Amino acid sequence: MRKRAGSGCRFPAGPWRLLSDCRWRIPACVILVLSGCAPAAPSLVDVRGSVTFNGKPLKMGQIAFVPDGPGQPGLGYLSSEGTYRLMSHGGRPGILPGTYRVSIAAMEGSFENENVRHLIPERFMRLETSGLSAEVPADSRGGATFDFSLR
Amino acid sequence: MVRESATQSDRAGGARDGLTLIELLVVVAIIGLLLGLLFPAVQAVREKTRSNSCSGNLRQLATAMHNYHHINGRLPMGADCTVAQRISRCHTWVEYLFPFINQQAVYDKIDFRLNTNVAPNSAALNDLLIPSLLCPSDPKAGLFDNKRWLAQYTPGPAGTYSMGQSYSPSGGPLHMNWCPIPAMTPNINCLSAGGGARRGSNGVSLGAPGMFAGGPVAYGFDHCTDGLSNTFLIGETLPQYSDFAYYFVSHMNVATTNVLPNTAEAAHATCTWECYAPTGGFNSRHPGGVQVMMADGSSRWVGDGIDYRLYQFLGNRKDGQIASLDEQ
Repeated sequence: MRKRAGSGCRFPAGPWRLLSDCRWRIPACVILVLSGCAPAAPSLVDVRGSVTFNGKPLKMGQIAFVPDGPGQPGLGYLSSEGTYRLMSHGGRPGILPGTYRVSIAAMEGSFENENVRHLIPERFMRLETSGLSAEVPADSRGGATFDFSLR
Repeated sequence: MVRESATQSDRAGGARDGLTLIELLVVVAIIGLLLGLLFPAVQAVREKTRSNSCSGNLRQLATAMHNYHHINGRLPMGADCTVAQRISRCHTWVEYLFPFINQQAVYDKIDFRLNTNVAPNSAALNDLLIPSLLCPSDPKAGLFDNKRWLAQYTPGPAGTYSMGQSYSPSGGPLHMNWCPIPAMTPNINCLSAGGGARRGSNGVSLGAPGMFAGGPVAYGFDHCTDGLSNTFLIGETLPQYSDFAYYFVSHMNVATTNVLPNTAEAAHATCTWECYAPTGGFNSRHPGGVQVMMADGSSRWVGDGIDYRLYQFLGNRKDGQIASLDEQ
């Protein structure tokens, strides 16, 4: 028995042979298990980017991509570095390819205290006046980046 | 002796006795694989059961609304802020439904002329847990400390607890102080103002495009000109994310279709300002969508991928028009 210690991958004849290729056994099992779990998700494009206002990163606010046609808008929040990542479809990262109008809103204060103040001109918040748009290409597998420099 | 001879013959033929370690590992791996296949299936069935129970609760609420409408000729107000000086600690739609969901005893204790945080209301409403208002798929729904972000709206001070429920009535494409998805052209997705809780300059509440407003307005089925089967009545929410889904949180205790279904968790994780708006839509723990009831009492599923415009049309009881402020 001890003499066989170095040949741990050899199997007796029969159905075991199917799993006899050591290199692929574990990946095969993993793929087999995961293949039953994959949900039917739409192919979303991971959209990220950054927003600056007068050359400085916009450190808080919200960015929305609203489609011209059917589909869903994407919503993202600006991080303290001025970067964002869009989500749609039940909170999944990314949006569908297509043409989008873009709105960026940055406010502080609260409505409750009636002291809301806009950190950037209000026109960027409205889709008709923001002048911002994005074309998300269908073949952007690695995601797409849209940076906005507001003035 | 038999065993002895078998061993002998194995040795003679160069074969092994017993199992090698690798064979054992393979058996364990195969058992693991089978369990791995079985486990998601079992979990899916369990979630389906919880989801069915959740749907039953929704149906009960829709039936209660229909019964209320049958008696009063109107659905309950989203929030009765006629008592409160401003918008805080108003009585909400769900309290008016108590007699129709086996909670007559609690209903009898409430004095609707007073705010929710004073006696006898605070005693009746704090620590009140009504299981049929909780979706079993969301274990977080239940009692929350009154010390929450909007503490000025809760029926008690910090350290006391009141309920956050799993269901929100539909306000349609309602502006909740601001619209995370900005108004489109034509504006079908950002209507009214302030959750429909505020009053205009003429003293009349602004109202909401959906079946419920966040303020002292009550709509009847006759206000639903789109047809009852095409208009949301009530749907699911996740109170841990949705500040306005807190049960007694007075005004704006309605869900807006301005934000997409099931996006509250993602929004809550990254939002930094006035987050009740992006988290104030329909949300659930069911994979892939939310359950809603239409105004005719039919149960529907809204998938995460629903077309945004369609979602607005389903929320609005009067498609094709911008809800006017004097609409009652």
